[in-house]
Amino acid sequence: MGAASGQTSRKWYSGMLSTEDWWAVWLGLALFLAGLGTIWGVDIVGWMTKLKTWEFSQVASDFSWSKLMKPAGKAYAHWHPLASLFMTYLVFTALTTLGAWFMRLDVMRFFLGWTVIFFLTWGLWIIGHEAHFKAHKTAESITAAQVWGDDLYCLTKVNKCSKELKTALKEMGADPLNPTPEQAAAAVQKAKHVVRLSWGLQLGGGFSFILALTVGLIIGNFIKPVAEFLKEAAKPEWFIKTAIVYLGIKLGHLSLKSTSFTFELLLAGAAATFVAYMLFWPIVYWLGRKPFKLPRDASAVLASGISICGVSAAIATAGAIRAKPVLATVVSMLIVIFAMLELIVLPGFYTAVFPDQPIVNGAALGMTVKTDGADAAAGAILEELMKARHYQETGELWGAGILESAIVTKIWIDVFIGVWAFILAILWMKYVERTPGQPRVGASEIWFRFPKFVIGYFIAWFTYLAIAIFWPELSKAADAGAKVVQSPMRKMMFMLTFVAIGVITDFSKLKGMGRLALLYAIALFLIIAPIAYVVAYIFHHGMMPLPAGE
Amino acid sequence: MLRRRNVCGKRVKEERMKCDLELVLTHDGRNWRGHVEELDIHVKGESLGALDAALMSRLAALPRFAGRRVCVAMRFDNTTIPTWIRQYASHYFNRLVELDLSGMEAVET
Repeated sequence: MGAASGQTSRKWYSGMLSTEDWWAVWLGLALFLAGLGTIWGVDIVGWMTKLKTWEFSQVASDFSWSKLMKPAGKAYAHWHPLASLFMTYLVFTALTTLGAWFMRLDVMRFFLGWTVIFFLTWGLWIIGHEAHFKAHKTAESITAAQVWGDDLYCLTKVNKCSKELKTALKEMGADPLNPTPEQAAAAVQKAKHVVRLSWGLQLGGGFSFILALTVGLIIGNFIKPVAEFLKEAAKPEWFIKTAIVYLGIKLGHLSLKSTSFTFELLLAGAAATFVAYMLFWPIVYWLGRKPFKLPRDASAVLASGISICGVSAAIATAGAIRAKPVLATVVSMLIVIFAMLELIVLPGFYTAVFPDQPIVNGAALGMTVKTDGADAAAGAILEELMKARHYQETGELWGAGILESAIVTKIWIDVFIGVWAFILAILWMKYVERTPGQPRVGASEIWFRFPKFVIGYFIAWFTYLAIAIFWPELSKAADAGAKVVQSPMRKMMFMLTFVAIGVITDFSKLKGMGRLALLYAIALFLIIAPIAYVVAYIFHHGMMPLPAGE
Repeated sequence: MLRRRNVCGKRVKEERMKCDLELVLTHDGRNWRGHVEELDIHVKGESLGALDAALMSRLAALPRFAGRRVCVAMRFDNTTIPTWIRQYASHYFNRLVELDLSGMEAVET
């Protein structure tokens, strides 16, 4: 067979070295397994850079890289922060470039584009960690502003700041629960991570995400030669699927802390997804056929793309009904561009309109936003915005759950794409195109379409769960490495996704899409989003994120 | 009749990937195009049915296949799909087609 045959799916293991889906598994598991080295006392991942929240005037008056970042692992604490950043670049560049080589990308273009995206991402991430954008007010500033003042911000976790203030009061011999304003002021001077700021957005990690997305979109829409240069390395789906594998560790952790919450999330997600399938597809197909008078194949591909799982579902359906590839391409363009609109609009909208339904909001995003990258990105923004708002209003900090609900729902949708394509092909042949010689689909298509990164996600989840259940004495040691992978590494992959998804989104592609774009917009905002919200509410209402620190 | 004498059938179950011929399938925006490298045959058609018919004509002219039933594994070349889309889905479709060169009939199995 010629060169092209290498790009065909021939055997069950086809694509293991040549598709981004599988490379998300390899990249995810390689570092997840490296993280487990701490069980044997070897920290193989501690070189990863972790950013600190910093305040502009403090850094400008006495600049030091160590005020901005540090190595994540204790074993690497003596490293210069820039050495840690260089090591982070080196390891991820080596792994992703290796992947690019196996995927037959233009390796030199990938390397150059990746390097630019990597350092741009870190630059934006550092800016996003400036206290005026990121830092939350201390609990004391929210609940006892008359004593502490309402301008106290925390440069680390808010409970840590409270602890610092209480310790300072105790050392002064003051009552930690009832200090005078003078004692409080003195305690603030002593606390290492507490600063007074004249203003603060209190957006947590959300500001970094929004900044990365904005810069990516500016490049993708206004600096097109640069976007073209970066395109080879701008792989939001690869980056986010890798991040989701790392997220498996967090879910393992979550399962231990609240088994009932995790399984309720999984079951509710599965049920909601099933109900959504049953409602979305027929409505959108009918809309395409009747009011918009689209051909059958265009209606089917569009209905799958908009109601199931975006590009993957559109391609699965187009393949199942043997549509011309150009149809899948056009619908895919629409999906990617509208997913970006959803990512921009929905997290802020849900936070403003439904501030007391965090898990419902996450699940609704999972059913509405149609690419993995945009869904996870939207979930991450939603989580940061909702946590910040809830904390500002109540002084109570939510922990995990919102992002997880967005991703778990989406994963269920992904997992069943192959099954859906298989069923659709059978129904298509039986009821729509009833002529001899029409397509049939082998069950192997289910496997070809199965999202492989989910395998990595479950391996990470169950491995961590198994360690905690069967070898609890190793849990603490395993935690040290796992923390690095599931926090700074995962967040870096999220940040890379935000920049990359912006870079590849070109809104001008909507020109000339006419009826298809109009149908997509109507179906998405008037049908899919409201139904998804109702379904999410039915299955998830009453569920709340775990409290922070649990 | 095709059901009873399905030349792909048993092999499909036992070793799906082995057929008489393998064809790489692409689409140029207007036509489906097929290439059987083993025989250096290029065929095209506006629909898959037209492509099958073109392939049958070419194979029927070869003594090795004349009057036979031939199983062809058609594998879609995923490079036909633009690179940026492949990160979302890297597989389009494959088809196994049974060509009856005596009756000039094609059935996807």
